[in-house]
Amino acid sequence: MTATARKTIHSILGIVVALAIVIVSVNAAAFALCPAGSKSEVVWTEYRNQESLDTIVLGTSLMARSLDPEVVDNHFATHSFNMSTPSQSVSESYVALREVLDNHDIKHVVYGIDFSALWPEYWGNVASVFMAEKWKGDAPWQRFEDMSYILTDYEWMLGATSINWAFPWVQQRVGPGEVADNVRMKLDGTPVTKAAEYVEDGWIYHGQGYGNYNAVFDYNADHHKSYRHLGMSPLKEENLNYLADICDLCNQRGVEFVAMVPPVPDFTLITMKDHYAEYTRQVKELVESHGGLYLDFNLAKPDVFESRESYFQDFEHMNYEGAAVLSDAFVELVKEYESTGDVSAHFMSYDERIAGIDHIAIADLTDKVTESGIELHASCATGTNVIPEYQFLVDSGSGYEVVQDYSTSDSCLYVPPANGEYKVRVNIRKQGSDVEFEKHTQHSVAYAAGSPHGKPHENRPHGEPGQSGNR
Amino acid sequence: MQFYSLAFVLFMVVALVAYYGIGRLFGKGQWVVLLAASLAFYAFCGWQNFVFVGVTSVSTWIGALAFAHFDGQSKEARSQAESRDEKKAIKRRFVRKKRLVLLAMLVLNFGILSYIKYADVLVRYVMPDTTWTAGILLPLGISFYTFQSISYVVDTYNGKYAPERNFAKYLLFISFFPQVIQGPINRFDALAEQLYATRSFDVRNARRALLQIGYGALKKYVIADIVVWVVDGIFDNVGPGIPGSAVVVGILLYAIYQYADFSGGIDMVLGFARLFGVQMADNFRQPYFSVSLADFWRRWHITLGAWMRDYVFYPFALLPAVQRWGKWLTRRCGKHIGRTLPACVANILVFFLVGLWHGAESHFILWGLYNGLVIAASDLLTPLWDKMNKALHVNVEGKAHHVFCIVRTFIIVNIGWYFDRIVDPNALSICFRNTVFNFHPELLMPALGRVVDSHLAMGLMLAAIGTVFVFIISVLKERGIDVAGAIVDWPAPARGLLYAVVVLMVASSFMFGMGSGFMYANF
Repeated sequence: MTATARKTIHSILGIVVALAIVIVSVNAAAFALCPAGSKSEVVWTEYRNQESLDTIVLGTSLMARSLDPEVVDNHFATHSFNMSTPSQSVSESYVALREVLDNHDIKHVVYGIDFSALWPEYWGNVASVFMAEKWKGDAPWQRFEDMSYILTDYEWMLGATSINWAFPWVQQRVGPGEVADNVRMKLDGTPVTKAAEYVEDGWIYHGQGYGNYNAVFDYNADHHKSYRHLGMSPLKEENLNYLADICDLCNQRGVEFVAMVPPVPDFTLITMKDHYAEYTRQVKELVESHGGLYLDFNLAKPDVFESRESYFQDFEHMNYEGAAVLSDAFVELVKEYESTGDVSAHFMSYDERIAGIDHIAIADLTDKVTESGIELHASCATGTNVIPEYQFLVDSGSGYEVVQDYSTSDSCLYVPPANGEYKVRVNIRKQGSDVEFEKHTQHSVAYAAGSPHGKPHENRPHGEPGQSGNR
Repeated sequence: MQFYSLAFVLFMVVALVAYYGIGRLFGKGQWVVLLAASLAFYAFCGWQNFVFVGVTSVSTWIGALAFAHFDGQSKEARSQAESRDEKKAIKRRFVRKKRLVLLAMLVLNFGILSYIKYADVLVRYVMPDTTWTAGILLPLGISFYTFQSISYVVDTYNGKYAPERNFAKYLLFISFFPQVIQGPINRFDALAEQLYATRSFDVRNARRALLQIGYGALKKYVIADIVVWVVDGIFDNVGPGIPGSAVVVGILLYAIYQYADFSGGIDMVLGFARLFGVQMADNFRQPYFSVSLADFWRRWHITLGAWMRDYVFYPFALLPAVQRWGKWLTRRCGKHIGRTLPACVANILVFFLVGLWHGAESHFILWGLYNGLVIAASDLLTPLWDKMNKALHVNVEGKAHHVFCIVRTFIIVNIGWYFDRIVDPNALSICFRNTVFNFHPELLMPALGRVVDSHLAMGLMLAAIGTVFVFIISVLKERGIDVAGAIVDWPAPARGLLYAVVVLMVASSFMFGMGSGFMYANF
């Protein structure tokens, strides 16, 4: 063997070894950090245990926590499965649907419309966990077919998420303190549903792909997340095209397609403002022009479904109680549609819905420490016909004291007696009400005379996109 | 097109396979692949970019050919001239023609750059309430390719090298895709031959390139894209009494962010170019280890500094009027002042232009002038420093003095970053005032608490690890160690482990950052 040939072999071996170490390390990290029993893993594992299905539910976490297949089956004697998972993109739903249609005699498809899933570049790492779990049971050619469909998204190809596909923990991971337990569960063969219940504190698996939480959202918490923090984007054309593909696939296979918008809490709906009507117009038109049924439970009249605060676990997801009530409502509407062919009378416009809200949905409080003192500014989400009134309170260590009693003024200047940490709070109620408060929120402010902070305090959730530099 | 995207990876793979494939098959013509890749890159980033890069390329290419044409005509005419005076007259005539062409090139290309970059800001200075805009997005890399093409025009005007007669080759020099995002500002005589050369794939060179890309990605994604959240959180809403301690921490983080973003991006593009066997000009040399502000500017954005030196500083300092002024000063005020003061004025002019290059906003101009004035003052006062060092028996060759100079320069540079980062003049004055008079260290943590939540705190830990890593590498490089050269010779398992650590850190950074654009992109 010549010296050149030896050198070439040595180089190639070096590349192989280095590459192998990188691949092993990435897989080791994914093994340690990606949750044992992710919801996607639960769905795909449980799906593969189903013998025959005739109704499939797809969508994001909104849908995963909104429709209980057992309720549907009890009414229609169907065999339903909820295949919705957190952050499931529309393209992933399409790929999953194709798989299900190929393997089961599906009659009905219920797709959960989550407008944020139709925004551009919203999902942190599209097509990672869900697809990785799907591919565990797929032949290589099937993976290639799935990829070839998903990779047609040009914008996605140009973004960082396309690379992070290879690093699934970027999207979904356990906390630093949970890594050891996570690895243990993966090694000792803990059933995926049990592992999921362990990793997702409070989440209970009920069967047929469906799991949920029992907790009720704290509407008076110090901080809350809303679509205001996420920002509102126009719907992305590619995502609408994927939705159209889903409709078309159902038409080709003779499957009934229902697009269902799961309800969100009133305050979230209020923050979506004019965007909601525009989103509705585009998606409803698309679904109906492709022969599907469009049911928006945010805009349902109370005779079909009446949204209550106790139905929600967080700023957009339903809890177990809410999903049970919604599933019943869904069944009744579908029954009526099957008998009459029209259920449009049970829905109203966005403006009518918001006008009908007669309570304070949530309170917000911001502060700005100035040379004059602490400036407080309150706001709230409520119906268009409600006039709110605000009461400001401050706790300097001996309990809350009212510093400005109920009035329609939403601002207050508090002059602290000394430097220190102060808890500030606002109570809000409808004008004319005599309850102590309907909603309140509070947080702490550090005050030092002559050296206040200029940045207003805001309820800033984790993961909010930052700005790049000033250039 | 983002570097950290599947599209760019595929783009690079296709370009590299085509580049080395054509080299192997035909033994020539690889530069055509580079040109095609560069034009494709431009097309990905918006077809409108073609218009601007096209105007600059065509005009400067023709301009340089005109110089050669006039030189040829001049030479021929002079050879037929009979008297010395006639020869001189012919030369003057052609020099005038060349000057006119040069002037036209400068006006056209700097005119386009100035209009696109400054029109909006200048109109708002004059009419603050106007809604008028130039309506043109900054074309990709316009500052960089304009400076690059002007250097080519001036060099060919001065006869430094012969102009490129093949327009396609010249277009490649202007549009070579790794340089268009954020530089460096390459010179024709250093880059062109590399672009047009034929070469085969070199494993060792590729390893080095991948290391450079990884190192750049680590700086950009692991450090800059996480730290920027805190910097923006502190400075985007400066109030009348933001604690000085928070301002100082914000500025120090900005120093880290700015270096990590810009030098990280440059490392990546140098690595991309190196994969094609092209070594572009270096833009950074451990700038935070500088011993003076002038030294800092020889290590920070090196190609811009060198451009300003060659095309502004020297032409200005060598103007006959400035030379005469220097001599006059020497006679009146002594040798030091006579030699230094004209250079100081030239420096102030250069840094005013550096500030202006960054933007027409007042804070950029102030930042540029600050740098120019500090360097000028330092030069003028050199005899005083020397006397002080002597009187205090300071060992200027000792390590302690070296460290002192580094720390002193770091502080001076960071004062400059106040002007650079704090855009609003009112906020700028508040930040300076509170840094001195309202430092309040006890309010630092509450102030940071408003910006840093537990999620970001974890990200900052990752950024801190990245920063330590970069610091160690920088110390080694400062000591003259070729770190990359050493690593490429490591055994494969050790290299694999290093690659794995970098890959894991860069990927994990996306749990906290969003992969924002480069600070100097579209400059």
